[in-house]
Amino acid sequence: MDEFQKPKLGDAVTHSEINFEDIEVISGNITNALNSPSKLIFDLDTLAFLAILSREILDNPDAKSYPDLVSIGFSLRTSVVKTYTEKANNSYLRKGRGLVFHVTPSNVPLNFVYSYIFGLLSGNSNIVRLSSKGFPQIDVFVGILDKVLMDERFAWIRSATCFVRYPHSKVVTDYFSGLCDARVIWGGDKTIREIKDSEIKLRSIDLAFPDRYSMSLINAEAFNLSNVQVKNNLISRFYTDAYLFDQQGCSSPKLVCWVGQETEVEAAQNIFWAKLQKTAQSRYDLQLKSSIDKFVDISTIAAESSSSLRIFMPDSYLARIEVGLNSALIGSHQGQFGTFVECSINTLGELEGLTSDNFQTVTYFGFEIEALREATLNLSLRGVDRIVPIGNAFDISINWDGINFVESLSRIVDFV
Amino acid sequence: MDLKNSDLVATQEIFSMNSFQLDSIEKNSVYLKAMSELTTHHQLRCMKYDRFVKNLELSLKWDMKSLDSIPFIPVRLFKELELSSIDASQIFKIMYSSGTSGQEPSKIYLDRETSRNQALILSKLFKEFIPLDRPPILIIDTQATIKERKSFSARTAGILGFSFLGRDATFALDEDFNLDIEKIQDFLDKYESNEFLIFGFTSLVWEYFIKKIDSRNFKNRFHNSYLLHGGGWKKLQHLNIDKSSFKQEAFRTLGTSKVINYYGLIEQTGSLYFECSEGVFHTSIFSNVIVREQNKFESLPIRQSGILQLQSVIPKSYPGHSILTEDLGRLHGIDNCLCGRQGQTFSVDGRVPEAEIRGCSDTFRN
Repeated sequence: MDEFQKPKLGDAVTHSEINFEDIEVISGNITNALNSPSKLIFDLDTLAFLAILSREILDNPDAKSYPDLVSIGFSLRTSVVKTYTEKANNSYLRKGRGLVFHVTPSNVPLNFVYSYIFGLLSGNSNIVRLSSKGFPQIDVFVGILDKVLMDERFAWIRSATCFVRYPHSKVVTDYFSGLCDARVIWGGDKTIREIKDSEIKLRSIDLAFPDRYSMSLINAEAFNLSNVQVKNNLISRFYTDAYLFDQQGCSSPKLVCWVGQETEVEAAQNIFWAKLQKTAQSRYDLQLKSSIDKFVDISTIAAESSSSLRIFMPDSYLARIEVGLNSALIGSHQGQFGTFVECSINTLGELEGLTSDNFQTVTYFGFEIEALREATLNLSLRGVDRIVPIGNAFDISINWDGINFVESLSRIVDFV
Repeated sequence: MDLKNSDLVATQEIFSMNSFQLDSIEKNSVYLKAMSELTTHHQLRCMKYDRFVKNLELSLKWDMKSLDSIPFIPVRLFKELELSSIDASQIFKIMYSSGTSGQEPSKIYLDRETSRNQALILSKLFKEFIPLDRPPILIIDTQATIKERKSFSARTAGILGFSFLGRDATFALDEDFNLDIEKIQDFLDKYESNEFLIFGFTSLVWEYFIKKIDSRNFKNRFHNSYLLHGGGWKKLQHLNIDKSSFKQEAFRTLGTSKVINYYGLIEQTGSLYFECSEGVFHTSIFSNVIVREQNKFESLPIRQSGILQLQSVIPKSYPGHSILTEDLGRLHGIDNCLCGRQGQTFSVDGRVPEAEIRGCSDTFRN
């Protein structure tokens, strides 16, 4: 790596304690990132950069084999980024906080890209720690990024971009933590605790995104009344939400909650699950180990259950655990590879008491958004940060886990 | 509510039989009775097992009308849960098997009867494949392995089980896994003129014995031995050592061609599968093998590779009579082995491979 210069800020860890050989720089340069100035939020060059990055991703033949990368290409189009600018409170002059240190997760390969882009859009310089797990789409993305950053127009972005990997090292984490103005931590509860062990400056902030739990809410009557195309389309979208990333993302639905009368619900269940099973059979690459892991999980639940539970496992592609509303599995059971806890309620009002603080995304079908908004306003719901149509579970946005990235990662410059 | 022996009628009947006495048609009818009996026995005594069966029997079509529709419990459940069919007062010993590193160990609850039956069946099977009566036994392992009695590995189980069938069990390796040449020479001085047994875990036998023994110093001193080895080949796979090269090397260095491999689960101790002269594992009257596919866990015909399920009449104190393993294998034949024994023959293809990561649950480990 480049000759390391004494950083401008901070003194949490002295330079000499760190073995910089252990830090693998994937893109950019640590010194530049440490010394890069902050900018206004939604800087015009940054917006231009995202538009070009989007086009380069969508035009790249290698990118086409990775749906998650293509999806990033789409979400960086100007039309989408414009919605971000509308979502952030723009009534003040806002600048980046300075340096953002991102610790990104390994469960969703390209999650780090969003974290980084939001850091840039908020006007910050970014040091992004990538998971040690290598995914091919990461290399494709970094290749495209590096090419776009060759453009002289994007000199600031180039200096504000640094991706690193390093093996477990509290010293290195201490070092970046001690220098950053904001730290974004994605990961399991344990990881977040570990990272938080490294101190940040007094004025720095932490944004932590621990494991969450997500569910789907389906109006049984609306489902039953829809025509075959609508049903098939819904199943296909639900399939993507659930089976992409082996159902292991924070936004993957683990719980399906039906709304309606018993007979309606039963009719809907029969069609919904049979179609989902068929879809999974034809589209999901179920690995042998996953079949066994799933059977072990279902067997454990079966053995430990009380009698108020029914298990349906027509094959290894689909397992359903039908439970009552007071089941401890609701909000806690982390199904994988197509394992769903399932319950039903008569009206939206019964959602009260069902959700808990760890609920992140509710994907829905068959409700007017207004009805859901009203229910959310009137009920004392715990958790629930996003309510989006089924199929949009992974449309990561500038609003995530109840916060707005750009607002949180920027500071107000107040003029009176 | 201790069951009398008479309550497990078919199971008791099987215990009194010779290992390879019946052909499959005769065996299957009594074996099905034994498996149904044992399933009911465990359902009555282990509530978790009962719930497991009742909650899954419709999905998995466990109607108990044939051997392949007897409930099968995933082997990992013995790590996840405490499964016992006896009262605490009847516990004779608990076997903690150290599984793959980082996992909880299996907990196997044994009463005196099940423990005795493990030894009984092991001894019956041993005699069928190794025609030695209480042979002197050279163990390719270190004594330290059996000192750690809290964690009971497949190695410990093998060493204890086979030492019991032999005499003067002698550990050939010191604590650092070096050959204890002096001890080996003493052992040979006493026993080499008659047939004796060498026993060890496959990878240890290879790495610390076959590869290390200087055949010049021990020229012809092992030719009277039977080399019995079991346990995984995984460690040898990356060295490209398969069964035949193992045997060739054993013959070249030790001068013996009497090399016998065995396969078994620690969760079904006693119920071992020995390799016959044809190079395949054999079921006996005490055991049964089913190969299953992954989509509906349906049973597969002969020669197709799938997940191995093992049935054994031994486990009475814990619900381990019918276990779905995480090993892959295939059946080769039924009642037609050229070695002359009745029963199924099969081979083991290895462990179910780890899933490829596409986005997996374990979060960032730094």
